[in-house]
Amino acid sequence: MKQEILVPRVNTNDDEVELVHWYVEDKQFVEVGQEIADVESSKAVMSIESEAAGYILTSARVGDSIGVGAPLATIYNELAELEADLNGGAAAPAKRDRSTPVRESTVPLVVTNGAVQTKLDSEQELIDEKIEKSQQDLVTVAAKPSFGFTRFSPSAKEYLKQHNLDASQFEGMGLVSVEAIEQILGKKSQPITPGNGGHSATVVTPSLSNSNLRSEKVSKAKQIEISLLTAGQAGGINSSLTLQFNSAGIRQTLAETGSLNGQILPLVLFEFSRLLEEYPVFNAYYEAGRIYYYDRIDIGLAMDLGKGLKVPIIRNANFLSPVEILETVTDYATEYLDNRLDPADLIGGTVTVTDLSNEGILHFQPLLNQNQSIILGIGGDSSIDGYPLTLTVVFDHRISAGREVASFLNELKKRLLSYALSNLPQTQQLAKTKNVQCSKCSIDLHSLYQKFGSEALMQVHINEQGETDYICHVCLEGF
Amino acid sequence: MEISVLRVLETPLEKQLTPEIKKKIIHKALFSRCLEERLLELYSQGKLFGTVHTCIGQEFSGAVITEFLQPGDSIFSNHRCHGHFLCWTENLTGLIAEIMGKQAGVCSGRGGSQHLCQDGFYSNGIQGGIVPVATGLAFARKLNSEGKIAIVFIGDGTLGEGVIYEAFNLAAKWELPLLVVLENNGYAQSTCQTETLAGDICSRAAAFGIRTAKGDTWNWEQLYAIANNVVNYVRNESKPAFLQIDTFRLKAHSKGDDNRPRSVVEPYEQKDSLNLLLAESQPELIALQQEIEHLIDKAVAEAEASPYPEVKLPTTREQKIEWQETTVTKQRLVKALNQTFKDLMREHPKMLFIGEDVKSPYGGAFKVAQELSDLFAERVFNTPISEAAIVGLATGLAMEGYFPFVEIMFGDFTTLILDQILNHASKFRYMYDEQVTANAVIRTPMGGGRGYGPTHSQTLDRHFLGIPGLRVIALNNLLEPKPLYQTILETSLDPTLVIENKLLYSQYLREQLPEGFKRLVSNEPLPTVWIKPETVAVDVTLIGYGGMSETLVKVGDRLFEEHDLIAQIICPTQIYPFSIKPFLEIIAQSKILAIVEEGQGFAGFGTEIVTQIAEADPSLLPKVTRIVPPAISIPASGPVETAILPNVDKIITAIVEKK
Repeated sequence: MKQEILVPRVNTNDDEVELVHWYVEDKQFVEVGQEIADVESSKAVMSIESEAAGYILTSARVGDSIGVGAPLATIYNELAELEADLNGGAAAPAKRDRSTPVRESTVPLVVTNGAVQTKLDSEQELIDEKIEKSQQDLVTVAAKPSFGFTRFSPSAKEYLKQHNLDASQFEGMGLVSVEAIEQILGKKSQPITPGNGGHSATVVTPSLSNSNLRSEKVSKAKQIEISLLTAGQAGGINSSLTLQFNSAGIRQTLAETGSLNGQILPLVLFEFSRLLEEYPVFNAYYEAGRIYYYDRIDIGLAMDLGKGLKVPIIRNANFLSPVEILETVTDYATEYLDNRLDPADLIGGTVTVTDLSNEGILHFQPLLNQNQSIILGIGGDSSIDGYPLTLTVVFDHRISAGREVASFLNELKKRLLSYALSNLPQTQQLAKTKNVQCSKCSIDLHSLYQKFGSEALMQVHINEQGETDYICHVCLEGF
Repeated sequence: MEISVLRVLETPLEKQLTPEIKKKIIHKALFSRCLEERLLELYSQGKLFGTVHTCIGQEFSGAVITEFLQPGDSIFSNHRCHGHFLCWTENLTGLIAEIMGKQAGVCSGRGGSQHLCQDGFYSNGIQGGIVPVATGLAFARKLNSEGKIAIVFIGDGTLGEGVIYEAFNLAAKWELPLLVVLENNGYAQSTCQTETLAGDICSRAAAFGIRTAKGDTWNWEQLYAIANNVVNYVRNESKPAFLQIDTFRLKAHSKGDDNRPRSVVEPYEQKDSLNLLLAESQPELIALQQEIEHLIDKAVAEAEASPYPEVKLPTTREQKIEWQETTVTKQRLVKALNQTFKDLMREHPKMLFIGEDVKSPYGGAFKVAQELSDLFAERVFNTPISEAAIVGLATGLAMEGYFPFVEIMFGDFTTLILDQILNHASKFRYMYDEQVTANAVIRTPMGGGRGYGPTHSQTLDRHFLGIPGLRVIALNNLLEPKPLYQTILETSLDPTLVIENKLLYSQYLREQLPEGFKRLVSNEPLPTVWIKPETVAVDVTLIGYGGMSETLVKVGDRLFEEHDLIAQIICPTQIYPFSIKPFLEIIAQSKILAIVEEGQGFAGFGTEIVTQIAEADPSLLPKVTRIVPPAISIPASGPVETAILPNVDKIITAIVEKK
């Protein structure tokens, strides 16, 4: 008789744990409830107790990452049986050959830069692959609960702010109270329900790290970022395409007309969101053999202004004008700097845009987020002639293919370049050169921008005679 | 309106009292006499359970009346029913075994002496209570138009019960083929009629316009002619009649409690028809008597040989509850109910709608019955203000295969129907050993919040909880009413009390729940609703039913917004029978269990829940809190009423305090 001890689910976010300490050696006799190992999740270190009495045979080494549900050790009633298995009986259990290293990372598969890298040791035998497959299945079944929406209680929102927590990690967690936050973060255990027997194999104990190396704990915020990105990569087959063109012409238009505070980002977001309407697969995600299409376009804009990465959501971006997008982005930036971002504004993005063009980064490859099918990276370098701009789309190959993305990028480029003065049709150029002034106070466009800077706004409207006319934002309020 | 003998003789339908019929009547009377004398012996030998009410001296009443009954007629009787039963069924063994409490008894020993049932014969031990039921059966017979009638035997002591006059009124007004036979033996148990009875007996029935007649057991041949006439009248004209039969009970009311002086009893012994016949010592009669004694010997032996019945408990299936999401369509509950009844009456031709003020244009006090009588003129009935009688009426209709829905205008009036439900409708199927079903549906609005004061605002359901055989349902605004009523109508064998809620009538079915809450319904025939928050951490379980449904949904939303507490709601539809066990796993997930009731808390639904939890899993008890009104009557003054009844604010306060 033998019994496997499996890695328990420690919290809803972690699909694997790291083995940090063995309290026992192989062939040692252990009692029920005896601590046998410490494992570390992203939230805590906890000790694993033996669920049976007998002789132990460990299945992992310190430092290994082990998937939830994978075997940690086997308890044998008879020492002889243990030795028979250890000496390579054909019917060996999920126990690996001690000479073969346990794969460092189990599930999810680590994906970087769009390429799938399974870290399976080439020497591993077929039987091990099978075992890993079954472990994968186990993990898939025990997915974290998702209710498809998030509603924070006022207290929960307050709590997030106070503890500088990223609301996005509670995405899809349904009703979220402070209690729920603490439970999700693993600060509190789930209440025991009758029928569960009330006994648990895990007990939280202080960390007993045995590493001699200097180490530094990754901040909670960073951990969350890691987990989200990891989830975004999980099982994904990601690829990327980049398109580069000069942006000087567009920027010139913006500068000359004083539009959008001279910023190109709102324009990109504006065109991007409208173009997305024609490419629903980019506003979707893949899960378990199905593609789920979002019924709205909510763009998450990655933002790091020195206080950590935050991704506020521009809701229904495809219904906003460039000016409205600029206002939204500006508001978010202000709230970011004042630590006033509403947690509710940080969840529910259907697609993400990240802009490093102001950092002088011409090209980079962003990481795809969970439950999204593409991310758009905007790069740029003002020091190069023509102010080249790159648009990089990282996409989930399970949903779309390169050709589609290429066509999307080219269309986006075309739309953006249409704003370049040199590309404007003759008639529009003429219109630009015409003296634009407010029909009410007669202030001209130039003076308006001089006076109000980025606040300035000259609106086109239809006057009482049915003709197009202009009105400045000052007069507009006076209507 | 007494019928003279002369008129009887003129009746063309007269059934001649031939020597054969005479012999048969004497045979039946003697049968009753011998049987009951034997019963008294058996009683003395300790072979019977309970007591025995004999009709010795009164036998010719049953013996004569049953001559005019036909298969398909119904006979209702009372505690003194052996003679009636025997004359109708001739089932000697079934009767003796029943009184002995044996399996071979007509009701397998469930009913005993006073509760017999066979072939349309029903007796019950409650004075007068069976008269409205008999009226209902007569009503069914009238609707069936097959010339069948109902007869009910009562005693002069029963004339003190008010409910019989409610029934007389209904029978007369609606011209129902009901014959009331009043056996006037002059004593109510030990009390002489002269002490308690005012006025005249027949005049009471005559006051309702009921034809009355009089006869006696000493002139039973004349009684034969009178009964012939009266029964023909009831059967052919489909109208009620009242037959007073003067008679005398020669033995005790029940075994051994006779205080009447010999001087009173003796003259009747001497004039008793059977005694006189036996005194003649006719060889034929002696042979008959011997034959009867022999039959009784045989029956007693058979009954004694029969085993005692096994204890049969209702099978409680602890079925695993499964949940599934559901929706409702937004509309006012009163509209949804009205549509429900329009649909059901169209789908079920035997469904009847009965109540006070239910016909158009009024449509019921809360307009649930609006337009029903326009659509189904033949099946919607305005009744007199006689709550007990109309419930009894419904019971009788149900026994005959109709689906009567009775509306009791205010839930507060259900106290008036308690006897009809508790001692009649809910008992029948069991005590008559499954020979009859009485699936009447009684609907009534309960609840306060409208300033109607102490007797029009109560939630009285707890008085009806725990009555075996009675299902109690509380409608809420989380489920569509149609499928519920459909299930009630189609699945029940026993009566159902459905509690609607006055405030909910005008409110909407809850189509939209607060964000984050799902509506799940159980797979029970009458589903429980589980308003389930989608979350990882539930703090509070709220249990409430009926009118509390809307309140609790609001409580759930506000607890989250204002107190950071996530609540789930369990809203049962069927509140009796009810077991909390299937829900314990759900309850265990939360830290607080709040049971909210609009009715009084003492010995109520919540008390039962707590008891069941204590029995099943006492570790859950510390979670429990009950939110109930204080133990006072409900005042009419709006603000004071609000302060007393559970409302959103008060419930939230109580939960936050518990936390």
